[in-house]
Amino acid sequence: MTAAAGVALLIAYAGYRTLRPGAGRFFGDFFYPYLAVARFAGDQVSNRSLLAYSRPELAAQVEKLMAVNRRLSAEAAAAKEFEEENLQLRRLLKLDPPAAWRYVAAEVILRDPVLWNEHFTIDRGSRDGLTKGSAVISVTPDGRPILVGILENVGARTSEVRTLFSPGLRLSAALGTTGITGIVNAGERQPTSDHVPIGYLPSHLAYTLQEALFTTGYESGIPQGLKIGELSAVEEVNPRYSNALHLSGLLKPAAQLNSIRFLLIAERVRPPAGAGGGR
Amino acid sequence: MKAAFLITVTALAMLAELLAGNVGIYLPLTAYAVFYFTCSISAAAGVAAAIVAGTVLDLIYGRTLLLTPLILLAALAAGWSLRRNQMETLLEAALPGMAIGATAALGAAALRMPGGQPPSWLLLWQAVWFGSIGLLLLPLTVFVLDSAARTLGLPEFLKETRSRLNRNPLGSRPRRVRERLVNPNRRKEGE
Repeated sequence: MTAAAGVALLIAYAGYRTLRPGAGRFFGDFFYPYLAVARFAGDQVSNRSLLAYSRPELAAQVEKLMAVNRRLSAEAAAAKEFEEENLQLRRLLKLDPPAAWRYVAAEVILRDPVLWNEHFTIDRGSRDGLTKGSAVISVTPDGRPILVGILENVGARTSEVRTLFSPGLRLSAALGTTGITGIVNAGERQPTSDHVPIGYLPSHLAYTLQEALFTTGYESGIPQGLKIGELSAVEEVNPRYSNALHLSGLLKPAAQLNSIRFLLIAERVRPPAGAGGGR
Repeated sequence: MKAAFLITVTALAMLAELLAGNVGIYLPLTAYAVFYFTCSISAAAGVAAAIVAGTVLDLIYGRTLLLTPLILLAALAAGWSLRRNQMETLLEAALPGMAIGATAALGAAALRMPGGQPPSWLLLWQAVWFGSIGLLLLPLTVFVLDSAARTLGLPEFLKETRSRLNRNPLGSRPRRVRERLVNPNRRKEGE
């Protein structure tokens, strides 16, 4: 009887592990209309609250946004020039064209109150062209993109995002000034409420605290150069008495997950056939 | 009809729990709903609802481990241990509600442990808080659902008063009384 119960539990657990991604997408899509209604109600309240502002306040906000828009347009135009120059040089050297990215806007519709910082669900899925492993990006008030996490499970209308605070998300990170790379959510340090561990930092190099870390582009779904956070702690070892090859530290993610609502998902755009001469 | 009522109420409780979770409030309404059906319909119905609802909640949230069914079952067991066999007033539902709330808080801590977050002293305060909330939530749940069950002609949580002679300390199982008939013509041993 006990053996039968044990076998039944084992089979049930195996079935759960096998069916979890698909069943999760099914139930997520099933509850999507109800969660979307709640989000719609929230948006209506938010839109109505804008009507509480006076005309001068609204005009001031519009002017401020127009100034930000002009600045971002100028920066985008300058970046476009560099992109064309890069394409031309790659063509001359017969290299593959660089990865192009398109961005899909999404909104958070479901968060787990128990695992608030570790994962959440957004209202975009495979119907919008999203794929598993794509980078989820937030934007700082001054317009700089920062990495929030990656897409883990993609359903038809919803997708599950695993954030940097999730222990299962491991990705490479590079220091902005020196280019030294490490692995996020690796190493011997334990995560805290607002820091995640970073490991495999070379032990023979010097590190500067509060230095920014960026994505390396090694992961196919994550663009290079996205800010991840800042290095907040690195263990100190005496090279005379330690033969450790790597060090562990703590990283403070730049993304503010407490109040995050709107996000961008970066999807790689495949280059057209015959665009490059090969590497 | 009982099944439809159970499924509808459990689904609504899950949806309310999801909506409260969206704003960061952990509200184990499903546990209270399932406990209600455990006491009003049958223990088997409550256990089945706990397992199914817990599994669906874990799937929707995308949690790695299937812990919510176990948490709901533990909450049911905690509430069952503190319940009175014959609950007649809403006040008698307060203690089981406290047990359910405290168990749900401990379960939430268990959900965070696989992520590498060890338990802290905050857990004690959370258990006290959720236990206090449970003192009010379960009687409120009983009040609302009993009103609906009365309208639909379904079994209720609060039972009518029965005399002690008719009450069964084991719950709804009937007591078997064996009657022994003594045959006056049977010879006793030794005669």
